[in-house]
Amino acid sequence: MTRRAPGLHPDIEVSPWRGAMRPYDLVKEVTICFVVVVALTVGLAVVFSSPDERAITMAQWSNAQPVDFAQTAISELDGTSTSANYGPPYNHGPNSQQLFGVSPERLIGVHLPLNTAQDFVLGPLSTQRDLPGLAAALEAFAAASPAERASWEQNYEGAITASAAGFTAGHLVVARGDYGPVGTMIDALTTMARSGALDTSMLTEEGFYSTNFTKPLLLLADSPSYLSSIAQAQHLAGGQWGMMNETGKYPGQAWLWLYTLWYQVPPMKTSSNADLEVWAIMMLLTAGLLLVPYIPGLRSIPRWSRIYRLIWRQHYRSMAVAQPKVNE
Amino acid sequence: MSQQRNDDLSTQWSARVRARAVQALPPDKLLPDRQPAYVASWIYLFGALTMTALMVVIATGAVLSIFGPTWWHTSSVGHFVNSLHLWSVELFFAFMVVHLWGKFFMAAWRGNRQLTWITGVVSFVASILAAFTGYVSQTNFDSQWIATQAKDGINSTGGGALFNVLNFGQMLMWHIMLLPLAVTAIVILHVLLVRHKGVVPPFEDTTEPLATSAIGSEA
Amino acid sequence: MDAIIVAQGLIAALVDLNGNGSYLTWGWFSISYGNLAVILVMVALFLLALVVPFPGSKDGGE
Repeated sequence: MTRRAPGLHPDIEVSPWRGAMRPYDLVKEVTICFVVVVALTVGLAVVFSSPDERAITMAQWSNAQPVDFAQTAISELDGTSTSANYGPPYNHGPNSQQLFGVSPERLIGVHLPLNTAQDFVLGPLSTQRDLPGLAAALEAFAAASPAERASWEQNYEGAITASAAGFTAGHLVVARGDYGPVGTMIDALTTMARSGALDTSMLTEEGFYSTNFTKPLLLLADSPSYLSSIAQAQHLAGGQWGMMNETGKYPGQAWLWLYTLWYQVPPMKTSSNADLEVWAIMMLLTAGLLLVPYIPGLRSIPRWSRIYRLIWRQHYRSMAVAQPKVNE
Repeated sequence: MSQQRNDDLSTQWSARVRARAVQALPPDKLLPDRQPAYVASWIYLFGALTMTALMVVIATGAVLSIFGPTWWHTSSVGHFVNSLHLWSVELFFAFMVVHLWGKFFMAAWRGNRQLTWITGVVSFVASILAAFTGYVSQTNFDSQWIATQAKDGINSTGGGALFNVLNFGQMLMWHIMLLPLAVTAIVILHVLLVRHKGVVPPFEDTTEPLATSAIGSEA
Repeated sequence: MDAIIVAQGLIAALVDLNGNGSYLTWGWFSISYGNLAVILVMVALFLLALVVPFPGSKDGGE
């Protein structure tokens, strides 16, 4: 079907062009492209605008769902939250991901140290000693043995996650039990959050000027339902191909289709090491794309597909017309 | 210091660099007025479209930079400039991917053009990173959600210790300083390589038998 | 600039992308219509670029 110049590898080599040249105004081409792109951009921006959902705050969260906030707070205090168990780079929690028995995050280690009890609960509360009963509660908590604290925390966690838990008249309501000072502390943190003081406390943790939101974002993300339910409603969750989606009806990062695809299929769909597995796959595939010119088989697809016959149809036509004359 | 004689100037560093540059990219190669006859398809425009979309992305980003990262939440003009920035990015990626498809099916790496292909893929990856850091620098709900989700992927590789997607200041610096520099530099290299090597010629097919190859039946 | 913003407000009354998104879901596959539109436009551009005759070329019986 196809003959080629002898000795040339068709997918690697090509003889230099010695055929006809034609006038081609590159500067004019680029200028026209620029004008077209500007016109398209202005047109699309005028017609479709752009999305801007306001950022959420601790105050919004704790006012909308005070019990969800309190559940998150106790999990930060007793070390059962997602962040408390995260592992590197935040802490030595057990949940670091691994592939073939190797955990890159463990190898790199803890570089953004996070102590959820101190950073999310005890630290912010220490700025609010004027709240009724809080100073005494914090002293009692500090004076207690680790076993006592653990017992209070577990009891309170059970009570606040029970269906009877609620919020009335500005305070959390839980069944009676032995919570020591923990009930007062979590109630005070909820009050603090609802007033906006927790936002202020966490956002200025590094001083008056801050551009680092690592800790407040980790606390928001630890909510069992508030943040994720907003995202679910906007189809942004990982299981909803959310990485390529945008709020509203806007197109998002469609170019992430392949990255988000791997999270939808087994075994990554249910794997606790899904992130690392997907990253490993994507790094391999990206290396493959990068090295297409060197990969036998892959680099022959263009020749096999024969789409090039369409792109260069005029060239092959003129060849077909010209060649018989040469043979005569 | 004695004045260098004219014939010594060829050993001067500046003269050597200029000689090498002119040899690699003589003016009529750098900015040609003719192209091989086979350069006759709309697909060839997508490189220029991608490059000009990048110019619009950078220009609109520069306007956003003038007034700072939260301006667009409170100003209708700012919101409009943000819309321009978003849509120029969507156009940039769309044109870039069509360009990539086109160059793949032309096997445009042939004839020692591998580095052109590689710089193209690197600029694609750097652009994805640039777009991502833009999404987490929006200072709105999108940024909060995308940052808290994406941290798990980057942390799992160990990269989170260095590249903390929850650190807004760090992400903004990458978005408006490091990655635009990187993308622009790679794109310039990519374009210079295209000019240096020229547009890849067609596969050297000769249809057989030649005489019966009817015009218009090949595709 | 003001005129553009007014025009935008008028058009937004007709084309508002801020509402609830809709999604094409097929088994485990899901895509927003926004992203689907972008991808279809890209594929269409690619195919048109291949088949539409380029001006100045001797294509299409010119």
